[in-house]
Amino acid sequence: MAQVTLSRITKRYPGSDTPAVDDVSMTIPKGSFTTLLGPSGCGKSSTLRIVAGLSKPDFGTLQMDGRDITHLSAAKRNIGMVFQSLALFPHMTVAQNVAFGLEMRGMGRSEREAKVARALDIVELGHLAARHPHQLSGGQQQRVALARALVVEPSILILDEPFSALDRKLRETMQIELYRITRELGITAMFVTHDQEEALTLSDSIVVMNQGRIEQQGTPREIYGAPRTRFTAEFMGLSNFLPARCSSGALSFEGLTTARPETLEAEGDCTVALRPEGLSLSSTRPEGAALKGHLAEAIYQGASTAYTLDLPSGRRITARTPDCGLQPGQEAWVSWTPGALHAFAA
Amino acid sequence: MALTDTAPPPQAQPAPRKPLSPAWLTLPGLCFLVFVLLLPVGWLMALSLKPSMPGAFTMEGDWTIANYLRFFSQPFYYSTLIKTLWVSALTTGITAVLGYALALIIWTASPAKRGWVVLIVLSPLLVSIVARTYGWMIMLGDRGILNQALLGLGLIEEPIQIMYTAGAVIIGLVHVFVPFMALCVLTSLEKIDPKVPEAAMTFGASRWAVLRRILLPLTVPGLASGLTIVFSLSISSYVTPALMGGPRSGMLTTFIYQQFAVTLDWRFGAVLVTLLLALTLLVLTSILALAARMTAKWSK
Repeated sequence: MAQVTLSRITKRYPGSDTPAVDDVSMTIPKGSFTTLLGPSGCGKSSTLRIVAGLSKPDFGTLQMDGRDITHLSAAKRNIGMVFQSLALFPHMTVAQNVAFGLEMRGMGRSEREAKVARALDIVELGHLAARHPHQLSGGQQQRVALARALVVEPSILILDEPFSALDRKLRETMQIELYRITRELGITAMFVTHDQEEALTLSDSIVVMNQGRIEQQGTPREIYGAPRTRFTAEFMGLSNFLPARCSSGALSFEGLTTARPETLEAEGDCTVALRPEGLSLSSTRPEGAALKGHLAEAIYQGASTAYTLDLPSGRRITARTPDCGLQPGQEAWVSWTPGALHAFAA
Repeated sequence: MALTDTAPPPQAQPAPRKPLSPAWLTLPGLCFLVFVLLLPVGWLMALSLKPSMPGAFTMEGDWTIANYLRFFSQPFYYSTLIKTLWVSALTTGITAVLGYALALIIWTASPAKRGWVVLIVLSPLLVSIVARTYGWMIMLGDRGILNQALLGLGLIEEPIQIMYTAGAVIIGLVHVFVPFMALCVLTSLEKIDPKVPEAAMTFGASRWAVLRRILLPLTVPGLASGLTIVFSLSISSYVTPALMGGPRSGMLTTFIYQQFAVTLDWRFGAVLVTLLLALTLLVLTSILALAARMTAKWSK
């Protein structure tokens, strides 16, 4: 296991005006599970390929335990990688696939076989060792790819959207399994995904990326609970953005003035976001801060109902709460739990 | 729901006609093959079992294997078979190495360069075989460009005889067959997920290990079709051996031409045709069977 440090990494692909990775610096501490999160084209996969050694940065350095590895080839970095397409070797059996990395390291046959057997046990595939990849289900192929990457005892485990091809249920099972395995073995891991739930489930640390740059970096709690930019907020499932003004100690929006959230760093113009799941509706004015509006729509969605409320300012907000019996056309008050309101610089 | 409610009840539909097997689509092609290939070749093979008689083109005479005994009892005859075999094998081997390298270059080229590389690879096929062969003669002759250059540089004192040797035949054949091999291998390379060799590299494989352990096994199907195409084209080539190997090239095809066009001994010529065909089929089925065995476990 190793600590990996990226310093001012920049990568520009030929024929492109903007860099794919733009001045990215971060540290992946030893034994930590770090996720790069962002929409497609945000530079997360390019960053990961640079860490893996499959692509060279134009600028910046990469260190592993203090050693400069910027110009070291992928073959010499001691990494274990799981690809989005899995990239299993189709002509080799499961056992041969897993043994490949050990073989390339010149390990003897008996030691190799013992390690392969142990790795296949970890992913519960020992009984399929003699099969070829095309004879396995998607989930089983996934486990082979994971075993193949783990068996080399990599300094860093690199995973490039490994679960994106799986259906929802299998994806959740594999996420829990990956969580268990990486924590049990104390593995340093770098994970790339565009799925915020997956990032929150798996990570010790999340790096949100946008247009090649780091937007925000922190623990899942920090990223979800205190997004510092509108981009992060939107990516973390926030909506209901309302313009606001903040002064020392107070935050005002939609004619309402409340206490200023601690996490807000800005002064003057800012934006307020209300998490739809943290809102509740009532026909009478509740205690504390609330906004009054005209109920425009109520869409039943099973566990919750999505209510759309027109505010006097003409803006709309959506609340997702258990069905509360209010009908479109009625006046309603919307109030929120303390964690549902976020504010950040406009 | 509304859609299924308005659908007609099943019994209202007429009984479906049993569809014709798609195998019938091969019928026109099959007829063509029978008339232009199987019948004439079968007729020739039958002719080879009639006593040798220059000028006789018909089936009269008793059945005999005398023509075959004559072929295998005289070194002058059977050495053509051996020479044809090794020239074709060497041509195929050299073509495989060069064609594979070219296929790798095309495969890894950026999309912008790719079209140009393919065009360059295909260029030998754009020139007529006669012009191409005479081009090589200008290059390789005793007073050709190559010998002049070597003499000029003082590397040799007398011109090297290249024209009218097996070497010249192999050079001429490799040149024109490389595109076939490259395109066959490329077809197999295209089916490989580009992440697969990358994955091998992340697990510590050198470039050579990636080629030997990943790319070569995965391109066996393309390599096998390339080998069969190039081998059958080499063994049956006529113009290049006739022009670059000289009148006594000693290749089976030029020998066949002599029997049919010069000595008019069609019945002995038919022996040569039959042997060439048998040898080709033997080599091709061996290559294909070997390739099938190598890929049986993993190819879907």
